[in-house]
Amino acid sequence: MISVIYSAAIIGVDAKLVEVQVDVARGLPGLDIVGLPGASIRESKQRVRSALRSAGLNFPLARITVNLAPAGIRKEGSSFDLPIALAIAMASSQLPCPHEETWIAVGELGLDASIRAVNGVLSIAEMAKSMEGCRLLIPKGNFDEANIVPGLKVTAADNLVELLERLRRSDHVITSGSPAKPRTDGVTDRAGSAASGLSQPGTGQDLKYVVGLDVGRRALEIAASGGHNLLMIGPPGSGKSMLASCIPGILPPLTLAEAIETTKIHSIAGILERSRPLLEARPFRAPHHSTTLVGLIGGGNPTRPGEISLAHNGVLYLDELGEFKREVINALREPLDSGRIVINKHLNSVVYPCRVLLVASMNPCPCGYYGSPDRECRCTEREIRLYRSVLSGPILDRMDMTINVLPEPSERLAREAVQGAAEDSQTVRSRVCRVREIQLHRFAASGSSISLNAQMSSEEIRVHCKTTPEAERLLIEGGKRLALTGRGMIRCLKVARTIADMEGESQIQMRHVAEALQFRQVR
Amino acid sequence: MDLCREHSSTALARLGERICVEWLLSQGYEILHTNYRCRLGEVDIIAKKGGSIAFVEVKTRSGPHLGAPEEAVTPAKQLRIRRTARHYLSTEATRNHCRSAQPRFDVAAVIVDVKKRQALVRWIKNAF
Repeated sequence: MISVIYSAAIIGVDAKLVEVQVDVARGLPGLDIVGLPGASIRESKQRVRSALRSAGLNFPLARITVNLAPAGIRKEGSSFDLPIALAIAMASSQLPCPHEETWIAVGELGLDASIRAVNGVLSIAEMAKSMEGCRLLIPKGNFDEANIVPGLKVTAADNLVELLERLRRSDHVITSGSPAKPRTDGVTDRAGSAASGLSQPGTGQDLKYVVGLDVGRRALEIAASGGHNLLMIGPPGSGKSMLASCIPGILPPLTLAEAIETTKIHSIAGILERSRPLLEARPFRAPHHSTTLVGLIGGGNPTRPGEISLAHNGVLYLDELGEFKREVINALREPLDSGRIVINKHLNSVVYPCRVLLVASMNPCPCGYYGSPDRECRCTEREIRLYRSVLSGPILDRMDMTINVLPEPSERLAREAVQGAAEDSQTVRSRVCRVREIQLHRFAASGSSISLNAQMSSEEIRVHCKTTPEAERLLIEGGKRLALTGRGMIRCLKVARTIADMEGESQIQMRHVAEALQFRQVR
Repeated sequence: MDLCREHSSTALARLGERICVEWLLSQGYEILHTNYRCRLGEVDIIAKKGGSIAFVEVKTRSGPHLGAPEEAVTPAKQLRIRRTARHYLSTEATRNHCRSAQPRFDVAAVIVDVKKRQALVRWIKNAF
């Protein structure tokens, strides 16, 4: 007898419907799985066999063939255990087949018939949402994740016995998104609508503990406001890392749509905390400089999103940029421009989104003290050049702002560490939220879907970046002086737009361009 | 059916094979060989009926505790039986006038209940 149940394979960030067909036929007993199963699916044979027996069902003594259709896409992961087990139970008449309903099942089985949580359930719930008359059968550990998508029929259980019981009686169907479990609070619908936007403080350091570093603070605020990439160069101990660790605290919370996008990626990568099914704070990823290309960009087998995708809608912080492998940094070029990564593998291509705010920091030279006011650099010219070779032209071009961070004099450090006169993150954050709101309104009014100045296309720049004649002259002159590329000029203009927004100016003035140009002077 | 009281595993296997031979004869098969051996392996029963020749692997169990008998016919065992069969067909088949016969591989799962003096046979035709 043949039975059919549905499940899903994760391709990129989205789920694709997979039909699980099971044929239980006479013949030598055995279980064969066809339809491009990955290693973890081939292992599911043993788990399914034991789990069915532990749940008090018979593992049919027959030739069982499992087909995962469409057979052309490679399937990975342990989430097919549950649909295979259920389809075998149906094919051997131990479980009634569903009428007028499509069952979409995902879950990993333990030998003791327990149903264990799997990755990517949010994507699967979104896929189920677009289908009529379906019911999601998922591990209880993933319920909160599926609950983010409203209006779905869900049955969750944490062992097979319980699930079978519920399927036979067809009760315990919960409609997701029910107000009984409001898990989406704390996430606002629009970017930084002031009151609720501030209810969710970010993590990391507070700016009020940062002494001095006024240029750094200013650059940080501009970067956070408009989503511009930032490179900090300075000797050790000057406060680069400290500044970077303050970024999460000044970023507005994720909008619901952004939260779902980023949560999907985290869920697929399996780094989502079960206690927090929907991300609320923007991700802040700081991979170590030994990270490989695949680790940063994504890929591998099975394909996994890289750090840059895990930082989607948040911050990717590359500390000690000079220590990264050159090829790793250069691989960031296209994704930084397009906001997405396409990984081509021999059977399919996978797209991961990666709209990030890139913040990087590095020492000016291998010893670290080149240009430092109170210590001497011991590096040769050649060593410095080699160290900086990571910063190829194309990469520097994509850094909207580059600043030199110099250590504050120790008198000031000592005085202000005690008095603590600096502005705190909360104040800066409310300003950032306001500037982001200005941008959102502007782009919404003209019908574009972007939300940050950094994301503007050439078309949008023409519409939104109106400059005064003097500002334009300065930009042209400055661009010539600094030998900026076309892209460099455009990026500079975007930064100027953000600076103008911070002052609430609708037209870009000369001083805004001047400040933006100043961040382009790489020493 | 008459069952003996022996308990050793070879005796149990012989018993299962005897039961199967009897069944095959009752179905009108001609038994060409039992326990055919060559250096490639062994086939329990080789029987012929009409245009087909059956190579039968008999697996006997005295109870459910070791799993189903047919589960014990592993891929390695199947390969050995296939090789032995090929050897048989190329050397002995002419003598038995079954050159043109269509070969077939069966598995007979015999479960013997010694106390009740009963046996249950599950015959899987074309098992592999």
